[in-house]
Amino acid sequence: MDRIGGEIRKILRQWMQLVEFFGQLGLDIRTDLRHPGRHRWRETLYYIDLCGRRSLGIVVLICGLMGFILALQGGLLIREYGGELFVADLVGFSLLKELGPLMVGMIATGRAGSAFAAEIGTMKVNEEVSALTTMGISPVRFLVVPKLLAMLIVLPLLAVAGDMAGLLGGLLIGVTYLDLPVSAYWGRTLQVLSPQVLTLGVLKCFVFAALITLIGCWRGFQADPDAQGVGRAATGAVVSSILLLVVADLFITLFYASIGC
Amino acid sequence: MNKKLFWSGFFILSMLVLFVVMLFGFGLAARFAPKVYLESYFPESVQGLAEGAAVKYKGVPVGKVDDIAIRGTDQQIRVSMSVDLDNFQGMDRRPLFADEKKFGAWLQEEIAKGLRCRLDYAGITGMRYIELDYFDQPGLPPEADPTKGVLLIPSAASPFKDIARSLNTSLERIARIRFEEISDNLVHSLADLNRLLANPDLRAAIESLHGMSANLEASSLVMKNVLTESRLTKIAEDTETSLAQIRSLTQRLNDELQRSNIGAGIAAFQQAAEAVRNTALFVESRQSGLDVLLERVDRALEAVRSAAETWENDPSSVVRGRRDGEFVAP
Repeated sequence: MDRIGGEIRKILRQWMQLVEFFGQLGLDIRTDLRHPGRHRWRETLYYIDLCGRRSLGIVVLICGLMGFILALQGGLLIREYGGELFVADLVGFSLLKELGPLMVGMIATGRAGSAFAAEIGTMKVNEEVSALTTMGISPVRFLVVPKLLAMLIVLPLLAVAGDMAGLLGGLLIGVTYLDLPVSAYWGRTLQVLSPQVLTLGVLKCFVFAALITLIGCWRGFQADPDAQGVGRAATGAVVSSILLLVVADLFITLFYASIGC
Repeated sequence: MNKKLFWSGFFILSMLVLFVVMLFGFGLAARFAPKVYLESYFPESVQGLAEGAAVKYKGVPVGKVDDIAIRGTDQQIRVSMSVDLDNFQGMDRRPLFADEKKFGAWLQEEIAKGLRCRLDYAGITGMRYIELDYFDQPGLPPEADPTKGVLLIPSAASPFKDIARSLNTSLERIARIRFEEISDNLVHSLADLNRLLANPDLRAAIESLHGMSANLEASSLVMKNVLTESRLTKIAEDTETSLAQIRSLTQRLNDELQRSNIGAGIAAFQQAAEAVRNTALFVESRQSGLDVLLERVDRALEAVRSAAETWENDPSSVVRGRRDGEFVAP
């Protein structure tokens, strides 16, 4: 009974700390909005470089391969019915609305989410977080807000790059394997896709960026102060982020469907 | 220059540019193009038509469906469409219509020529689009109270509806056929046919036909055996040879006739015939004198014959003369 009670109390305390974390985050964002000059721009640019530019290659590669695979699998099935051209629809809609943002979110989780958890976890183990608090500096404003801003900027941009790479991957298969003219495939892609489709996918990335950053940072703050604590925090951040990304994607898609998008 | 900052900024800017380019590529520019708004009312189901579906003029995409709603008063489906004016170009490839007014005037002219909007299938998926084309259908009457600022275009029945209507008409016509009467007639006809088949004369005729058929078959077989290809070839060759000979003979005869001067011969023959005819006429005219002469000659000959017999029977009569009653003078 003592153990069960202890676990429940621990969970409740974590939830309260989470609420407190969000409260602090809200206050710090308001402060930064009121005083943009006080924002830690240098750190923000560092994270933009880390999570954005350095992730561009892997994002383009994976999304390109996703478009490649989608076109190949879809083409194998659709060509039985003589509708090879509809592969453009399949690749375009799948990538721009669902797979592009989701894959970019997964890659960002692996690269940025785990890095955030490890970084903050290490700082906590080294009691740097406590030092910040002692100096009257909000660790959330100091550590979380630059990361959050950087992720909110780079993740949608990475999604755009990933979408384009996926479309080109699909085009490559459409031209080489399905023997479709470049103009026909690309024309069909431009015909069926709309700015709305692209925007809806990109909008998802803002939610994903917030989720990845906040879960990574939260896991870092919750890291146990021992040698394995940082590793567990990083692993937990990745697992939780991926799970929540998929759940969030589901709800966003349901929301889009409910408003007719 | 801080390299890291430069590349971060380059990354952000290039991705933003890519985003904007993609937005415009996927049709953002079309949102700023001049548009006109059309409405049409469909009495039939618009299943498969969705907002955003293409509006095509003779197969060329010119706009999209903006809204679909049910008009409760007469249960018709109102389909609102937007059409990009830039899609209509003049001979100089410039936009043909500067504003909605000009397009409206053109639309009215085309409606008078038969322009209608119709639901068409976009493929095998059941999705539909609006096709603007010239159909030989009357369309709906103009709306009494059209929406302000919106152009109306009459709708035409979709191809599927046409087929359904044709099918219904065919079924109605089939339903009008009196199958019971036809069936009764058929039964009677079959009974008559049975009776006819049972007739012994017909059977005999059929047997005769069978016999004839067998004979014909046998004849055919014989003909087949007799008229072999080699024989037919030989007959043909013989016939050909005979014809050649006849032709040669005819040629020779012609030559001979030409050489024999048949005209002169015929003239001589005619002269001879004339002489014979004159002689015959002369003989005929002298026939009575000739008869007397011949009678005298006949009597003379009889007297000679009698004298000869007398001399034969009584040679002495030559000297002493003929006894009485034995010799009759001519």
